[in-house]
Amino acid sequence: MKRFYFLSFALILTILPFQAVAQDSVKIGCVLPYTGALAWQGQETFRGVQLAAEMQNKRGGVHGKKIVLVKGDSETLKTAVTETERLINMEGIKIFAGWYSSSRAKVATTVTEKYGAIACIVIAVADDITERGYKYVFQPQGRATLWGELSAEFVGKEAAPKLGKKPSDLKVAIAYEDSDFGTSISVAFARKAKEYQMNIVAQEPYSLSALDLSPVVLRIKQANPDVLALTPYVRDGILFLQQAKDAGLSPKVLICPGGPLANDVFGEKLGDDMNYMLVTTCASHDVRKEAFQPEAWQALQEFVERYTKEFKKPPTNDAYHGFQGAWTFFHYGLPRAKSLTPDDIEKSMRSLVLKPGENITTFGYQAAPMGHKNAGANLIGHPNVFQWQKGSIGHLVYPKEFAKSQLMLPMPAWGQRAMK
Amino acid sequence: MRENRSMAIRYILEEIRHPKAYLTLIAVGVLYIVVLSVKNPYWGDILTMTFLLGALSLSWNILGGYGGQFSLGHAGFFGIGAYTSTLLLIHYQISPWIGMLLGGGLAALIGGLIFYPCFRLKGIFFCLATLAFQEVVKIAAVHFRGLTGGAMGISIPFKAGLANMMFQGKTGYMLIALSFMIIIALVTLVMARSRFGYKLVALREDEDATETLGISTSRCKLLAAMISAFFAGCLGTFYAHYSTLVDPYSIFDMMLSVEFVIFAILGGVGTVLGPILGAFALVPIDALMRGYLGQGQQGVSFFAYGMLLTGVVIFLPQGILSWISSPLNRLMEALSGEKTRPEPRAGKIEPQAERAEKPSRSMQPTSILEIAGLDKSFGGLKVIQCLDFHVREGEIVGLIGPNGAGKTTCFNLITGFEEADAGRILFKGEDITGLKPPNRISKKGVARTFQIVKPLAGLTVTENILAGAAERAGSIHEARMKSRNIVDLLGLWEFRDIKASSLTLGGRKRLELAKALATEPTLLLLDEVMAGLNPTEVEQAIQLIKKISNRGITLLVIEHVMKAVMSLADRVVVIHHGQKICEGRPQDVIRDPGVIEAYLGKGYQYAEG
Amino acid sequence: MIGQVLVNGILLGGIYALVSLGLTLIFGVMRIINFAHGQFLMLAMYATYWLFQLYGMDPYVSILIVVPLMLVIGMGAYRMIIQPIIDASEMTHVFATLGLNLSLQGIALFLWQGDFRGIRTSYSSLVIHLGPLYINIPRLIIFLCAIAAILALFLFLKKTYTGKAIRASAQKRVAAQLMGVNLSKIYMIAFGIGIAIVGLTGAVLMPIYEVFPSVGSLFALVAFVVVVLGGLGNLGGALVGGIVIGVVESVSGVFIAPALKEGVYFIIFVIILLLRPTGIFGKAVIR
Repeated sequence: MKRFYFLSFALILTILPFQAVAQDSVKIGCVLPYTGALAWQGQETFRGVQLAAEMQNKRGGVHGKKIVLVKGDSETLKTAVTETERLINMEGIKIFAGWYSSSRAKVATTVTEKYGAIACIVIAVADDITERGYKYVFQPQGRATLWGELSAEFVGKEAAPKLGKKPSDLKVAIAYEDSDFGTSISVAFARKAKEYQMNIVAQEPYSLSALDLSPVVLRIKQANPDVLALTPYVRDGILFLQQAKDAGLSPKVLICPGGPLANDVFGEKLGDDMNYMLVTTCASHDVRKEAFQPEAWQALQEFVERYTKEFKKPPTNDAYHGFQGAWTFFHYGLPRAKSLTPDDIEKSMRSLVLKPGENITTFGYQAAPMGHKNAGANLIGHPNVFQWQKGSIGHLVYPKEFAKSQLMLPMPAWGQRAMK
Repeated sequence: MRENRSMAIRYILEEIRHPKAYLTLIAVGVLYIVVLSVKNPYWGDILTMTFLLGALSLSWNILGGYGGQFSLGHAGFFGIGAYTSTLLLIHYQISPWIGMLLGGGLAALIGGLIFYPCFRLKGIFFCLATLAFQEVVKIAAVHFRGLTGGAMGISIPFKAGLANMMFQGKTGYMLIALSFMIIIALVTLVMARSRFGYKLVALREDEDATETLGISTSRCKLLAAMISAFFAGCLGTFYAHYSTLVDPYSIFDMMLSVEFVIFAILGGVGTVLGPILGAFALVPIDALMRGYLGQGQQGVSFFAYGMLLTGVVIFLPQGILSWISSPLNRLMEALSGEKTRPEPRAGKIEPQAERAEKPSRSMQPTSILEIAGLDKSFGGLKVIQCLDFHVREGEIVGLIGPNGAGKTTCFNLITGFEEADAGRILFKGEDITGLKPPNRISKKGVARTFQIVKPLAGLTVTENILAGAAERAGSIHEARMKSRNIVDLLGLWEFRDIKASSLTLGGRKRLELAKALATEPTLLLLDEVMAGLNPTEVEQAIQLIKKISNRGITLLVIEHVMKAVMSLADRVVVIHHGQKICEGRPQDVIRDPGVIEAYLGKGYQYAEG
Repeated sequence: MIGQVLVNGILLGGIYALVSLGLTLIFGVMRIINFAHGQFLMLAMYATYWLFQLYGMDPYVSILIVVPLMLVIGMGAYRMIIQPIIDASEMTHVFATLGLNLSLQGIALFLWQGDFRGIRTSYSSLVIHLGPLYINIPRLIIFLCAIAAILALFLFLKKTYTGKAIRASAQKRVAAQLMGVNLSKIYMIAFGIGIAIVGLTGAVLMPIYEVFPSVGSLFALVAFVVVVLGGLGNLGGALVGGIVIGVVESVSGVFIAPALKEGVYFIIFVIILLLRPTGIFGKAVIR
């Protein structure tokens, strides 16, 4: 008996040192919604961030130290704050990547700014995150305004000609779930659409927990639009499209300025009927190799390979976002900093300039300086437009320099969208 | 007046010496010291949320625990307060401290307006209505984007300073939240010991019985709702400044509403400590679990809350507090060296002097109660037809008749529990026919007991009687004095701290009588008080009723026990099929052939009685 | 368009009616408002999902398994949670079932996480056209199921011994017991039947809806409105109430604003509660 105890005691002693976090590592807080309504998106985003960390560690980490991600759960706004605080105060973390949703990012960055911690907003689009003049907040991917505006621009510049119409001839309907996500993007879309003199014939917010979206469908159908800009979350998006199909609502152009329609689940549920639909996201998916610098291209490929190998499927939209935001931070921002203090990191992120193609995104990076209305946002962070083709969303059609696929419009009626 | 005040001071001084009081003061002091010494903001956040949720639970408790109206939509008031003060701050630069009061006021107003009509709804329906209320407010907040910022909510720019209710560290927030919690707890305590408090818990136990005591149950519920909503609204302002963002999906969250109800239930509804205990037990654990369990945490958290709620409701309905109350009480006794609370000393308010005989009646005794041409039908059945009789001041009138004759219905008509189809009821010359609700009639001086006694089961005997005295007394001390007298009069002293539900039938009947007497009625309606009593108890009851009559109270008594009727009644009225068939002295009435036929059927009319 | 609006509303009402049927039955028989009603629906939907996912079973076929499964689960839940408190106050029922609600959600969250799951069938979007109107087949099937379930229940309650015993217990508990009815067994069966109907509902909802741990709450909230509107315990009232709410929601969604449609029926709900709490059809009786 005694011998057994001593043996196990010794065993435990040998294991313990491995539990302790190595001295040569840097802890980075990754606060995302791992539970709750956005759990799936949060987990996917984390996969992207984690792969970015692993890849950077393979390349020597940052300043010789390995990146260790420490998770915090931002399931609700309240917990986003609590968890961020916990990581700052209990784990002593001063570098953050995460939050996912705009409202969570907003409240959590109030905390990080208070403590002078660096916050890299991996993906969260609301404009007003960066409208508070915070010094330590950076938003490497696009803002809602840009997403919404670019989508409208795309409709005006690329889609309209395909329909043989001028933008001012277009009838546009906008439908969106009425939380901050859908609202901010759709408002920006509407603004830009008006600039192009498009006719907005319907603007329909709805509650995302609705059990029936046929009223929205009917109202839009009655307005008979050429273009429908739809910004749902995933579940209500599926319901909407199914009920649109029932009703025979089939605009010539359907664009989701916000991203959720890029989820594979739509393909699973609606099959070929998804073809021709357009989605705006930042993901570097289906891009032309030639448009990138070799190093960036390599990194991108490595990400796709690793993800596919580990999770047995191609990277999701959210995973791309997570990776892209984190990679800009881990690979460019952090190593360039003189040291890993928030102030030095801030200087690095502020001065970092990447031209399109130098980074793994289709856009480059240039942080808005202090004093700018959206200090910390990426001035040139514009999203891409993808199209569902042949049952898959991975077809980049805009910006054209990066695109491999061709834009195909107008969208045929339901049931007639199969592509060879 | 002077005497009342000095009595009050003496009372308070006595109270403070009691272990309950000084232990509480010590506990509060410890809490403040803890708050001031906590430096780690993570713990600071947990404590702030604990205090905030505890305070919210306490606010809810005023209406839910004490008033028995379980609202599941209280987060609605929380949010109304938050939005109001935030909008006032952003648009008109009004200080959050003032905005808080305005927000609380608006919440109270809306609470009163919306909950008042809903109080008619019983139990579960009321719950559902409050749920719907919260949902509607949420939908409105999301939809009217121009006003409320819609789903994106409103941000409050961070600016440290007491004036702005924002602080750099957590200490400031903790202090405010703790102070809120203490204040609301104090308010609850004061309320519980006031006349209003006794009325509130009385109506929670039995609304009809409480109406009979002259208490307007709807007004009490309204006041409780408004106080409860006011505090919830004020807390909303605090939360807005703590989280710097007010958005509808977070603040009008159904889970939040349910959460602080769970705290109160777990700790013990209807107590001051209960909600605090519940919050302290659950909030920190939940936060810690979230931090260290990670993935499966939310599921575990929901599951734990659910099991706790179901478990407490089934096995420990009075909450944790009831569990620890006996050891706590023992501790108190050990510390103070005496059993239970000190009783109020007999004061200057003397019981009416006992009179050996009835006072001689004046030549023209006035008619206290007059029933004329009363009709009442239920469906197709005519229960009361053309009923006439009267009761003179100081009399004891017996109302007898076979079962189903309509006697209790008659009482219900007099006291406002039923509405007559035709006819008039005059009390002291005033027409009270159809007067609703019952408390208005009771207030005029008509008290009654119920055939199936309605004790306020969860309350002690003293509290029962206090509820009766509360309406007429000028102060809580006067009420306590009067209750003490009644307790003595009815021989209930040894039962004074026992819960009414634990009394025997005889005890409950005495309590029923005591409650009625506490309202100092002019006319007392007794409905089969003797039923179920053994001969000794019957004799005691008869003596009691004689004592009551000697005090000048007029009595109308429904009875089947003939011995009582014979010894008590000055006059007897016989009802059969809802009509008066005979009237007169007891000894004459029982020999009347018509009466005998009514009771025993034809064939017995000529039997010697 | 008004025609389509009405059709959509009626079909939606069928869903609401079917969801509410079990709730109103249970209340009518034993005066329990089951605050965990939605969670049983969630369980039934998950069961259907997993049968599809693991065995490729079509949801309509899985009815044969899900309904008996939910019957057993319902009876079990009754025995363990409801029976001990059957004689307690209303508030006790409310909070005990609320606790059950949270527990079931917690279990689902723990096992299957918060993201939603759906199935894809070839007929999810099948539509028939009647002139200018279109009718979605799975929704029509739900509507027909609602009617079938009500008829089946009526027959069961009228013709079978158990059914009559249930009716007797609903009307006069003590008298029924004196007649030799085993009250707790009857209640258990009635509760089980109520949950079995929920099982049917879950199965037929899967072709058109996704399941996630809190999906039950969304349906349950409407169910309460419907049940109060139609009269607690009134089976036909559940159908009428469901249709009324469905139509109100559809009409207000199209002609007022989609974002406000739920608000409209909640306001109606409160008005009904205040003006006529016994519902359109009055007193609660199991006919």
